[in-house]
Amino acid sequence: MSADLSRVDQWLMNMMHGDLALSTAVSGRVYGDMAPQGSTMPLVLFSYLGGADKVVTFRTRVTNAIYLIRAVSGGSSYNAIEAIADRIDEVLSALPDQGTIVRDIRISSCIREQPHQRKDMENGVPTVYLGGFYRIKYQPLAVV
Amino acid sequence: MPANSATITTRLVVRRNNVPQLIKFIQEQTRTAVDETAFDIQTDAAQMAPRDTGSLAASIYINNGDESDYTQRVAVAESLNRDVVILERIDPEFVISLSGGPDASYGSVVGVAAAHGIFQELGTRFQPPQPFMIGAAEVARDDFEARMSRVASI
Repeated sequence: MSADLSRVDQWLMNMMHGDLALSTAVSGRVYGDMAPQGSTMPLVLFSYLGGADKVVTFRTRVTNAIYLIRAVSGGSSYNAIEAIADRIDEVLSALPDQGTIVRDIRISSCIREQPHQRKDMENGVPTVYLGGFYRIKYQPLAVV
Repeated sequence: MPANSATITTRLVVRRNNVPQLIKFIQEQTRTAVDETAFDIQTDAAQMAPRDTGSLAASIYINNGDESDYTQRVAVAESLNRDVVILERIDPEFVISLSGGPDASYGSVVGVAAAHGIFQELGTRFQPPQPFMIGAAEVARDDFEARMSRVASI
C-alpha cells in the first residue's frame, strides 16, 4: 500500500465537508490542491506539501505529512475568512486520542505547526489566504 | 554531633580546564551539521523543483552569514531566464530564532531567489502546488537530528 496520501486526502475532505458550520460557510466548496476555474469564493483548499516515512520496525512505518490547509477569499481583508480558518482548526483538532481509521490507515495526530497568512494579487485583484501548515501523522493498519 | 556519625570532606582540584575547548568543539561540530544539512536541502530542493527554464532550481541558494552562493546562483538563474524576478538575499540574522539570540545559535538559510518560487511551493487558488522546499526539508529532518545527536561525541 503506497497510495496512503489519498486516504489522508479523503479524511480531510470528509472532516471539512462533513462539518455543517464549515461547509455552510463556504457552501460546500472544499477542494484538494486547487479550485476549479471560476469557482466562487470563499472556499477551502488543502494541499500536501511534503513528508517523510520513519521506519519503526522492518514491517511498520509512521508517516509525517505536511499539509497546507487554508481558507481563500477575494478582497484584501482577512476578516471575511477569519471564522472559516478558525473552524478549520477546530474541526481538525477534534481528532480523538486513539486516532481515527480511514480505510487501511490510522491517522494518529493532526497538529498545526505554523500559521499561514498570505495576500496575492492577480491582475490587480487581491486574494487572501488564512490557515496553517498541519503535520498529520499516520501509519498503515496492516504490515507493509 | 551524634556518636554514630562521621564527617566526610571532599576536595576537588581542577588541574586542567577543558571546558572552553569542549564548547568550541561542539560549536564547530554544530556548524558542520547545519552546513551539511543546508547543502542536502539545497541539492534535494533543486532536484525536486519544477522545471521550465530551470531558473527556479538554479536560484536556490545557501547563506550561512559568512558565506553565500547567492550571487552565483542568481547569475545562473538570470542566464537561464532573462525575465526572472529576483528577490533580495535573506540573511540568517533576519530569520526568527527561538534559541536565544545570535550569540547562542548558528543558522543557515536555504532560500529561493526566484520570486515565483512561492507560487510553485504553495500553489494558488487555481494552481496546484508543486512543492520542492518543504519536501526537501522534511527529508533532511532525520539526518539533521542524527548529526546533531553526535555533536558532542569526541
